[in-house]
Amino acid sequence: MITVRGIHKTYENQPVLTGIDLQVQSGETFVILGESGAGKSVLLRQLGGLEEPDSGSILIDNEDLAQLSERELRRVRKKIGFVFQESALFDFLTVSENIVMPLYEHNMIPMREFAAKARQMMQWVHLDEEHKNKLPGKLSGGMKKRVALARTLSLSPQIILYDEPTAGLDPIGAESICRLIKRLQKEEQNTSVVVTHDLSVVDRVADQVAFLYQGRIIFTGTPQSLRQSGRNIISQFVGTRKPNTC
Amino acid sequence: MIWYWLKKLDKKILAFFSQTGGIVILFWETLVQTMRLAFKGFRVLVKINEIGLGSVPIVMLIALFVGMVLALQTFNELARFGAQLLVAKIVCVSMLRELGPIFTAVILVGRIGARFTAEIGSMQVTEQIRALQALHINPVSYLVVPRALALGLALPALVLVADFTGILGGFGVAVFQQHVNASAYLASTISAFEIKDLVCGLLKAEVFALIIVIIGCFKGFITHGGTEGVGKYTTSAVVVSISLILISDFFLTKLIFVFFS
Repeated sequence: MITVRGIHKTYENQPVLTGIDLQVQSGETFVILGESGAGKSVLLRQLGGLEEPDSGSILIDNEDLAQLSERELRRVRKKIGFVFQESALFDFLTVSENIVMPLYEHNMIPMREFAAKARQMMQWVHLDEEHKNKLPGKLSGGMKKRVALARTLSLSPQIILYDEPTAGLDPIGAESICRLIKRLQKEEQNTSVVVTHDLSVVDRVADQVAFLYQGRIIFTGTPQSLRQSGRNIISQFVGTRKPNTC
Repeated sequence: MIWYWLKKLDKKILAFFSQTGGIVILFWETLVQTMRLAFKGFRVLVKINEIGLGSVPIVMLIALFVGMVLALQTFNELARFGAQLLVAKIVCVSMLRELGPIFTAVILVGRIGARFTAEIGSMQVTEQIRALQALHINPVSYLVVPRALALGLALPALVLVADFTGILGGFGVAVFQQHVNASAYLASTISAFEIKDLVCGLLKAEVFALIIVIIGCFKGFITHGGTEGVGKYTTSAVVVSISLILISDFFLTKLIFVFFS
């Protein structure tokens, strides 16, 4: 379970997050919706421990990250995986190397099992084996996202944070990523936090949705109740964005 | 107006101290991670191959011509006093003490230091550094330590190559162009050769290697502003590294004189 209490974050005197409170239950897919520049990715980075909030607290399974020692913090952070908006694949490694690289760095499996593990992870994200020796530069946007997901999954995190998972993808690619997120929740019981500006992602994967506006959460509820919230800004957002195939 | 300039100066001073602090922190972190041996040996070998073997031809070419020019310049002056054989001593001592380490380091700043900044800077602007952190991999351990170890091993080796090639260049000019007796020139070179000079040159090379790695990687880590930023910080890394190498060379030489005199 993730609990966020009163998070503030400012960059160069520009407040980006101004008191965020939210709660994500174990095993659910929680979507944070909002316009570009609302602070969604910043919030996700705080949750992932990639940045520290100026104030407020983040609790992962009731452990306050700010109160933990460096060693305990490492243990808790290992529960979290992060899928980046632009995939952030290591461009000097091939697809299979990208996938097994975290396992190698953490000495998690013997070297002889790397090929099999890479194959297994590629199958899981529906990536043909013919791509295993390609560099990320040779892949399409959708393939990159799937490799990034496979890389994140290789460390078996309990919580996965997705930053704009469907951004820049065609409807088929977006649908494929949404299916993977849903499948992951169903088969592995992962907790997922997805930030997006794509309303179709909400319809497809969300159990709960929060609406972030100008650094504040102005709505939290189910996807159905989002459309009936009656708030002007949400109505505008929902009204102007038609769900696509995802 | 005064306020404007004071504010600007204030920002510059702040930036200077923040960058200096960052460099010191990166140096310390690199040291700690090296001590923890949190690196994979093969990665160091790969880097040695890239840095060392790949740099041999250009280092040899530059050092050869440095030795040749040095011999050419000094020969005419010394010939007026009938001291042509001193050319051998001058070339030998200059290459071992100064020109070998300095020229090799400057070549590696352009070839390797700039590359480190560009590589790490590109990783920074495409969130690959954040991806490392998200995968619980220490970026210093993964990116800086192998580079530091590889350059720490490769630069002194390249300096040896440069020393030898530079002396050979001087020999070539003196013997084939200025018609100095080859065996007399060789004897003069051998009599000028001191192991102390060689060791001091290699010690300098180690310090220069550290400067190249730390500045190159640090500038990469603080890169922002997309591809334009990568170019800007790469240029900055080259300028800062060369300046620091030349400044530190003066102080190292002073120190060497204190300890070895």
